[in-house]
Amino acid sequence: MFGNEAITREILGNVPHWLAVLFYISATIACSYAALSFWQRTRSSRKSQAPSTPSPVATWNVRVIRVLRYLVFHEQLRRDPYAGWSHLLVVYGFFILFVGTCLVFLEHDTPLHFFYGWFYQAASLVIDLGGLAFLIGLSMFLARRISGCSTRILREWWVTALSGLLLTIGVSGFLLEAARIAIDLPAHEWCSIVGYPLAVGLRSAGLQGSTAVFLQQILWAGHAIVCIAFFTLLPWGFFGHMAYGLTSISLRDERRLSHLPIIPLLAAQPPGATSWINFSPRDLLQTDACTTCGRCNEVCPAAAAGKPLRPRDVVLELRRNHTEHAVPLPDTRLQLSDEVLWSCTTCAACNQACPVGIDVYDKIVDLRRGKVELGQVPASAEDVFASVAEFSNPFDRPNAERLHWARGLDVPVAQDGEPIETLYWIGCSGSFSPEGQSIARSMVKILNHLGVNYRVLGTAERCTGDPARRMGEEGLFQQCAAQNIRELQSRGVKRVITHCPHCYNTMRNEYPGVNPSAAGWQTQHHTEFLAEQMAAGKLEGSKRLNETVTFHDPCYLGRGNGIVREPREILSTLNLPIVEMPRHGETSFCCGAGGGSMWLDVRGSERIENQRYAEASATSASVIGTGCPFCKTMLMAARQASTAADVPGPKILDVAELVVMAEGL
Amino acid sequence: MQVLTLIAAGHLHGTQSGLSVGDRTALHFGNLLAGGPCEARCPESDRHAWTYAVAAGASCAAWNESGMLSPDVILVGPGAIELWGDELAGRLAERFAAELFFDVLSIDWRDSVWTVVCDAGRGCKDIVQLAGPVVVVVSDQAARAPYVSNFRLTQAERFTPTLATVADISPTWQPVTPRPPRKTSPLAVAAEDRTNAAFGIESASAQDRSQKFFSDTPAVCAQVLLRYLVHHGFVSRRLPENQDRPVAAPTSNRQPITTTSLPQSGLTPSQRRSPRRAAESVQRLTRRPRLATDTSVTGQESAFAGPLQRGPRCLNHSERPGRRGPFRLKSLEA
Repeated sequence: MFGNEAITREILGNVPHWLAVLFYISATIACSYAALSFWQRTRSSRKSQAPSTPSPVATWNVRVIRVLRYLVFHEQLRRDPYAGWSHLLVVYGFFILFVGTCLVFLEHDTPLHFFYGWFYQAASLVIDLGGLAFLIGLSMFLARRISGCSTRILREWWVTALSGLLLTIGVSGFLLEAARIAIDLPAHEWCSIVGYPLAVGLRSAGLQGSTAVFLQQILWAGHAIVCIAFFTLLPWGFFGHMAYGLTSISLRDERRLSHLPIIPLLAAQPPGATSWINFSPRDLLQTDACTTCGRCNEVCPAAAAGKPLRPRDVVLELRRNHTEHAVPLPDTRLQLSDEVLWSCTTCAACNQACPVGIDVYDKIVDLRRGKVELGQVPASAEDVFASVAEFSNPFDRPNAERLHWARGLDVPVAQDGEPIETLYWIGCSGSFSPEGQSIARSMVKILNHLGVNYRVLGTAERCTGDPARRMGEEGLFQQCAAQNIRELQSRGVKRVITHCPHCYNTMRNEYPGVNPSAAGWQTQHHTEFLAEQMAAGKLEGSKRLNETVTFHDPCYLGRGNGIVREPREILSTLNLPIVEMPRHGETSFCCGAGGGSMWLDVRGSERIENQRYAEASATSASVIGTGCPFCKTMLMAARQASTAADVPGPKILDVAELVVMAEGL
Repeated sequence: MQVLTLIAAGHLHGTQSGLSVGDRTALHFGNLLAGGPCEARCPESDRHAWTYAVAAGASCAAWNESGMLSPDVILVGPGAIELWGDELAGRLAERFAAELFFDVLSIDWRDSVWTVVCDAGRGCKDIVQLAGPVVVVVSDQAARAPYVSNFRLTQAERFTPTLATVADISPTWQPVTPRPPRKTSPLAVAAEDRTNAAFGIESASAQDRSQKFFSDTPAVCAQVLLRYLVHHGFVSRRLPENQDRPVAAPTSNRQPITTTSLPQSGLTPSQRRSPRRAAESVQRLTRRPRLATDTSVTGQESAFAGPLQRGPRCLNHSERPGRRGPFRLKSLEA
């Protein structure tokens, strides 16, 4: 079937029978131990007391396709090209070597007979190429680790040792092949493109006959030992990501990055987490999947600003807590300081960067919920909670002042019980902060100019609950959400336009989780609305603005909800040249206001907004455009801090303000 | 340890509002001192106080002064003071023979000694160590109590007993309520003056120093002076056997606010403020004996004139041996 049957090799040739039997027994024990460890870990995770999550079985086909696509294309990993290609080589090489080993097993231990002729030669060629790729990939990894050129990777000896173990498996495999070929150097083995040249080298070094056989036996035993060690260590630490990582990717929810799933508030169990027992089995599986690559640390704005948060440390601490306290006791809380947890800006950059799909910031918010239930919250956070609860806004201002921004403008305020088709949701920042008020005034001018039949709620508007939720006050958020949903439902709202990405994200993604009827209205960010109007030719930008713009993508808009095209379309329609910052679009950098950081202030070596402002200023653009009142506030504060009084920095304007300027409204 | 906490929600523009910082802190101190849920008492119709007390982990009941046991410490929140007045604290201190402190920033019980830190105004603090029962009115400037989450409040509402007045309140999620006023004390006067006022002694604040003099019939003046001296431990309540007990003069046209609490026919055992006996309780073993060895009123001379001019609690300047009662360790500039 496959040609000349003489073209093959003797499997386990020259290996003593007892050694082969010992190998089989040891390999079986090692594999059993690994399987048992995986099972025990899974069983331990299932002791979790977190509310159950929807079963992933219903969408298994989608999940399998996701994993296969991930393995084949490595899109997520190749965001760092060096690491991505290294990993691709290792994975492809490992897979080929695994398949090759299975072929040898089938040929030797089953009645099947196929390992001969051209198939044998083709398999030898592919296996050697796979082995070569495996070694190249591993060498790239180790070179990066040992040279120290990457600051993000975890410099632990055991990670290097495990990588070295894999390298040893690859190298010993090739040496074993070379020793086998060197015994009689058959010509058909030329297709072993690594083993054959090595065998020729060994022969020329005088290795032949019984010496070659002895060397082959020694190498076989060594190769078998490192392989058994690999099987044994498979569930442990770094190696575990092979199994846990793929499972984690397959179990990840299809949701937008800024979307925090709603958790049920059960009477028997307070929300939040203080130890591993409060996390779901999927969360625990994700921590086991961590490869310690440090991509989350690299993109974290809090870490960049010198704050104590390192997302990877949060994940590893959770894993350590789970490992060391399999039987949870009252004092088995996670050893994470308050400063670590309150540093997070919930920008979701860590979730986006993680190659194995760990939802890091979800866990941080869960831990914040735990802190809130314990009563351990910073005074400023408590003030925000009190303000949201009592004044319905986080700015500690009476809700009666919600319409002060509209003085002198023709703003249609909805009457009691009046049905609303299009609602312009101002948001708390738009109502109370000067920067937000300016955006609201611009939007009202545009809406009036377009003749849109819209209404604002005025003093009936309340905080969406986003700041409280991101700071861990889930109960308060659900209270705000229930009130707002009731208000909008009673008025039969069809469409909500808002200029605040936080309100947008909450109303679009999270309110339907609180009450499914909240999905009954369409939520639009004002950049989507303006882009839509411009595409319809209703807004053209009649005045020429001599400005160059760099657009700062708000996290909850770009990364969180994928709206990066619309603001740029608006700027293009206004004939404004765009200069992009190094970090833009969905991989933008946070302004430092999210997750309640507008009110919380954990000290770092640098301020996040100053870093972002410096990055924007470096583009030499005359305007920093944005689409979020919080980003505008932070960037203006950074400009005030960084710019000398006599040198005006770039203007910071919302796209709505640019449209108003261009339209001459 | 028997800990009792009295709290009440504040009132803003006639509307019941949330609990003030001081009331929340009083509950927190109560839980800490009790080493678990303390006993909280609040007005029967006060839904905010009931809910908060249950959410904060205290066991709550309606305020009923007559049915109280003898606690080791009574923590009174500013909300309760706003509702019932300073007289409440004074009355409780009198009833349980306890030391009274206003504007308390912190209280600690260690080695059978209370350490009470009071806000002395203008950035100063009084740190007082003493034994025996105490009644403290917690200041709104005290350290914040741990945050009580909305979830806990919502859960607590389920366990709050249904009261006639509570039933009128909307049963939905907590309605938005005005925030309690942030003020330092209900009367905006020094703690020392409030203590004096609670015992029927006029304010000794600097601005109306001239008004501190008491004008009334000799009998009433003597009665008030006696109360003052008894309260601060300068004299014992045990009167000489052959001495007529003071009786309020019926001709008085001005009644001190605590006159009615002074029994006409002598002092009850619970009101007796003589040196505590070692057998009374374990906690009181270390209480220092009262100053006066001669406990008769008639034996007292004007040796107290110096300290009296300074006010009853400023005892730190007195080096006289045998001074008794709580002493100030030091004054701290904030």
